[in-house]
Amino acid sequence: MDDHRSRISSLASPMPSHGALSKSTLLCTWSDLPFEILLCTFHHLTVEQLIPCQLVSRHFRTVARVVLMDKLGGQFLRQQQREQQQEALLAQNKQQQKSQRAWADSLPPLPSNHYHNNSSNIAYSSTHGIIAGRETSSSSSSSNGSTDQHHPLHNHLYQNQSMEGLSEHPQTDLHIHRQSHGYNIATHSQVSSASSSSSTLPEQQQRKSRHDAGYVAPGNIALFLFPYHDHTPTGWQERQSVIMRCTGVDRVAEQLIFSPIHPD
Amino acid sequence: MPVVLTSSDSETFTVDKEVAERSILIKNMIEDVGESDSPIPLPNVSSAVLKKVIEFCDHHRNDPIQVQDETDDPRKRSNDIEEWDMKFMQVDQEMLFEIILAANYLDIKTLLDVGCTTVANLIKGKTPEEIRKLFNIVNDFTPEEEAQIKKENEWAEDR
Repeated sequence: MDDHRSRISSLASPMPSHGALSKSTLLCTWSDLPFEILLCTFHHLTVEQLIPCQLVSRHFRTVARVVLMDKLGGQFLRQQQREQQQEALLAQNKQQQKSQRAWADSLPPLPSNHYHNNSSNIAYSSTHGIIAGRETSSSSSSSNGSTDQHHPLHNHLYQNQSMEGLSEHPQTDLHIHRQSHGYNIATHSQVSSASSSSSTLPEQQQRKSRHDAGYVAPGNIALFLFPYHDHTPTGWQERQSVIMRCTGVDRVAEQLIFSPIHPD
Repeated sequence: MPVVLTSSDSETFTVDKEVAERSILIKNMIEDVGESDSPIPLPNVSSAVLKKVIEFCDHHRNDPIQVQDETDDPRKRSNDIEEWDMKFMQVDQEMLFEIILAANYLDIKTLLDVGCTTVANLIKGKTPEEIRKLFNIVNDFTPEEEAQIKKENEWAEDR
């Protein structure tokens, strides 16, 4: 038993496992706190907080400098890591943009009448995007580039759209997903006698709507509540029809904006 | 099975083995010597400090024991102290100093970390002069050395 006790005593006496402290170190004060403890303490401080520690005493300065260098080295490495990550992200974005452009280029060209037939209704404005309902005479420049696939409108119309089930409208530049809607959509093509006179669009609409409630001006969309609107009395058509005009493009939401113009 | 610890002033403390083994030093000793009723002498720890250390170990008896590698990375260290630990460390400077030294000697990582964090929190936001005053440290720099260090740290003041 005595032998056992002496073994324990010899193990417990000045033989620290972690701090390498001897009895004499217990007599130390804050000014000469063991290196490893001060190191552990200073690691809890930021670079800014370590600066005044360097000016306390020589012992503090030695330890503070070690930690400072470690932290600054770490910061430098982290900064480098951040820069590398940002570069990788940029490269990835560029790659995505390239592939998107390639995809857009691979799309079939818009129909030749895409802009030509709609020059009276759709014009490109740098401030308002696509503006519908312009007079025939007011827009001619945008119609010239009918096959230009890089026109903003082209990009917009094809962006994030599934080609499946899309029916391309022959007269307007709108690609309407007919199957997805529960209502019927008609456009001015249903009225072949659409006027090409120089009178303004609202005037045309007002004049036409008096004679034919099914008239829809180019670029506008009419929603009919009954499937065979052509076979219903004119009075019914007037009451059940809502004519809408594309009044803008929300590029952020990637939506065409329509406003009802009939009934008032 | 209880373990008997003897402080430097010959006071004995009987504690559960799992509480005593929060100290890696004591754990290694028990493993080396084998289980026995003999008291384990701790000549570097006074009874007042050992009492505090046992209180800490008893409170944290169910915590996972920190592996050394986990806290070696300074970036993983946190300055947050649990409420109980904060209250535990609300002692005078002499006792705080003794607890830190005892934690280092007994190799109780969590206690050492809490102690160091407490000291770091005391240092934060203080000027060199205030730190000297707080810990009763003598300025052993010459005026030239002090000027040199200030010059070296000018980059930090511009930030």
